[in-house]
Amino acid sequence: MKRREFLVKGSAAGASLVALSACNGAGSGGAGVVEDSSVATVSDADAAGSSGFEKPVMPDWAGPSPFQHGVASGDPLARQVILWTRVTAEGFDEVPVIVRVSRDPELSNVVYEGVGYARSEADYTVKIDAMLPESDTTWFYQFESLGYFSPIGRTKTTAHGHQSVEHLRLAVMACANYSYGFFNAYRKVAFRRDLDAVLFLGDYIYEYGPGEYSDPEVEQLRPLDPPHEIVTLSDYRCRYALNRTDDDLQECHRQHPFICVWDDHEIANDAWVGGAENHNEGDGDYAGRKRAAVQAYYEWMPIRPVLPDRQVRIYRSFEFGQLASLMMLDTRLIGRDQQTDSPVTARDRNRSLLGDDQQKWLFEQMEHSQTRGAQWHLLGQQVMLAPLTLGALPDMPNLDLGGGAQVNYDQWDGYETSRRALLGRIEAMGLDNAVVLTGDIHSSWAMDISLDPGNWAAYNRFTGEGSLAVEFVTPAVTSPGAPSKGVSDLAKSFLIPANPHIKWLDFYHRGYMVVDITPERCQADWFHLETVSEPSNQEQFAIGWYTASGDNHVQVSHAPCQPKRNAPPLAPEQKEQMEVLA
Amino acid sequence: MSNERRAFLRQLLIGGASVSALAACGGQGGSGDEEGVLPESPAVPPENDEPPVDDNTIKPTESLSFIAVGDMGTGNIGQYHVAEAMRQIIRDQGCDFVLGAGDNIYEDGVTSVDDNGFFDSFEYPYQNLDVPFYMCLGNHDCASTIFGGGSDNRRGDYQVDYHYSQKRYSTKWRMPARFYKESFGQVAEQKPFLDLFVVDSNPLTSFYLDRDESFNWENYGYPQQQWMKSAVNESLAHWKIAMSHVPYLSNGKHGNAGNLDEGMRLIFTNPDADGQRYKLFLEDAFSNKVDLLVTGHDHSLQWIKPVESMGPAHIIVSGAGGKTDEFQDSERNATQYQAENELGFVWVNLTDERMLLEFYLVNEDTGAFRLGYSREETKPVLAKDAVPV
Repeated sequence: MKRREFLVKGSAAGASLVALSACNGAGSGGAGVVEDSSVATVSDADAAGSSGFEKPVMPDWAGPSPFQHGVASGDPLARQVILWTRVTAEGFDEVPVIVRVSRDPELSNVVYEGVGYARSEADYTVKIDAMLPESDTTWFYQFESLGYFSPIGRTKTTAHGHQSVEHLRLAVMACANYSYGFFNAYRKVAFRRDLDAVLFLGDYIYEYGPGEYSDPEVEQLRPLDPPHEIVTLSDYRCRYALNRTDDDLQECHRQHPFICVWDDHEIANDAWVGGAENHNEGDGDYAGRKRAAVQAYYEWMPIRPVLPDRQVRIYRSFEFGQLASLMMLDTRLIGRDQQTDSPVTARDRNRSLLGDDQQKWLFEQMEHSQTRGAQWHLLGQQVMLAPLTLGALPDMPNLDLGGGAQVNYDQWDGYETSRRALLGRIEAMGLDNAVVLTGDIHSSWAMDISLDPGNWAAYNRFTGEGSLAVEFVTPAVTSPGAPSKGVSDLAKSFLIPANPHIKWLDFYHRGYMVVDITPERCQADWFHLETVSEPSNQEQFAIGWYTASGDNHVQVSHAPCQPKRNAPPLAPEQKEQMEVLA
Repeated sequence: MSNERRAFLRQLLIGGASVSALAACGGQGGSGDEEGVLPESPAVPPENDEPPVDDNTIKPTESLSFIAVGDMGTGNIGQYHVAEAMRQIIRDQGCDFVLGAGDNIYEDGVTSVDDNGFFDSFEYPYQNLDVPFYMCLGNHDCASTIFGGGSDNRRGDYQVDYHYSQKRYSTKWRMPARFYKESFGQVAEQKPFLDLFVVDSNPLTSFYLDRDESFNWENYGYPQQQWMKSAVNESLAHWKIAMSHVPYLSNGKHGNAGNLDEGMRLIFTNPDADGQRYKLFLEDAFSNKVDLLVTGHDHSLQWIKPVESMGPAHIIVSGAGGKTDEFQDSERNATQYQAENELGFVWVNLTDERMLLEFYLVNEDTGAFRLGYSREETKPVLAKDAVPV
């Protein structure tokens, strides 16, 4: 009945329906589907339609809408994008979910239709890797299950690697502690119609229990679920589900494709390959915890596994036409040796931050990006690459000394060999226009990247000469930095003179960056929120820093980049859950 | 001359000149014709009963033998003793060519193509040997002081010039470029029996920085890395051997790439002296591709077992052709065999699926020599894995 109606409507609308065989399900990681196929063009509609889209049998359901956690999309490619939702309905082991993708927000021009299955083994999350007919295009999508339609989502495919792209805009976000504030930043980003994607650089959830790391007043209004530190698979699932009940976050996911990586708090504070600062004996086996955390991450995030049977391998790359390549790195789980407090150990030649395999992959990607002629090479990663010292000094690698008094060995400062390998390769390649995008540190920074920033002969702080690349650090969505603006300004007035490569920083504000890229320059605009202690719509443009093509050092801009003209409309709002008409 | 050299280098870097020569018909210089100097055919053909390869018929090479010797160019009696031992082994067991693993002319190379160093450290000591020597540049070949700090890379060009010189004393010296590929034998059309890849490691690892910017990493190191990587990837040869002067792994005082000359390098200025980028270069170009990696620099003989980061390749340090030294840490890398404080060389025989390595030790004072170790291995890289990408 409903099924037939759907088919008729679909055909009448000129939609091309393609037979989908539903199968698979072995994956432990949220992929309930994925046998689908690309769609015929409109001219093939009849043929395709007559081939018979077989709508799955829907179980009877008398409850409310199962779409309690919204919709999401992510990992866009030129012809593919991951579409995500979750089914909340008691009493089933497996629930079919249909998704349709259209060119328009009214869903009148369907170009893809696919089926996935929400299964208990993947916490009833569903991911469908939709095949879409055009690159560099905005799409609208909607799920259907158990007699209900989901809210309408909006996503965008990237340009093919060979396509020329004039303008790219990415929001860059990190560090969203649910009980430390309201997700105002997600709301502000959701409204930006002209974004190509949102990069999320980690700490999407926090593992702590109540009172351990939160603003007590906010936590009253936003209590944690589960009400204890998360350790098991069901704990992690529960915490993702909690975040996804937030309207601001749901809205941000609904409007933009995300490209995500984890940082430490998706597992536990200061995680590394074999442990974490916040993992104690009482928490059980670390390998088991890591496995659970990774599984829940893949279930709940709109991400495409690189290796379906080895999901801990999250590092991967994207292409935005000829304009930019994006390499997303994992500085936490795949290769990081344990953190140290010792400046001597930090320079140990056997220590690694990325691990050999990822480093090799990264260098190959950089080479590929340079060879294919991409204008910009973006590295999306977690911890600060540039050194942070109480006073920079010349580096003396042959003495295993120098650089100055570094203060945070959780960042690349604790892995000098890995940093030298990366910067040494950028230098050897003569790679221009490498831009490092960083999260983790709950503050905003604009920096030059030099092999030896404390050495005036190697790096000129006034002209930027000797800089190999630039780094932009995005502030937190909610997690705190300095307790007041005064403290932040004080730290800034000390750290900038002490660190010649650091051009600007702000420890106080929460917010996000918009990275605006054209062939001529790459600029980061920092948008800072008035508050996260209460829901608020107030934000201000703090500052912009850009690097002109070929310069490899930053310059200030006191005006934000101009948004794209004629950006496609947002996905329409939908106050009430829509039932499929019988 | 230096302009021609530069033109040659540029062509090498851009065009990726690969110099191929069959053992049967001697070396063919890559861009010799551009310079108007064609390398003459060897005055005495190498002992090999095969005629030059005919267009239609390919007689597949079944076996090749070579000697690997390094750090030999002292011109002292020890070098002569080693040469005599090599002569006897060549006479008794055969040898198609010699690999010279660098430090060809101590202590600070040569400063012209007529330099006496070519005679004192190469032609006279090896006068009685009648096989081609494929040479690799070492730090002393590119040094401006007797410490071998490697700050004058331009000096290495004279050793390339000598390859093309019509006035050279013999035709043994083969160094068609600072880094190069050479092919030997043939198993099928377009498929050599062996490809040799020779690295110029001094600009990548020297103690002193060379003020000549044309040898920095951006202008020289990385282009060399790219050239080497694609040369190895494109190679169809059955066997692949890489040679470089500075070790990838060694139990001697220079140590492992990535941490070269620990303790020593601290008085020098080049941040690349630890060989970190050099290590990644070698892994990038050769890992899981070559069967054997031959180096010198440490004055001892070592057969280091394969390590994961280099894949199945066996690693040879043969740097006792003229000087001797002791190990710094004989346990640093696992070995099949190692010998310190004695001169010597390694003789290698390759057949279709096996390689036989023999380590010969030579008494510096008396010239008496003996077989120190001998072992046969199956070919490290399986033929089916060696399909180029």
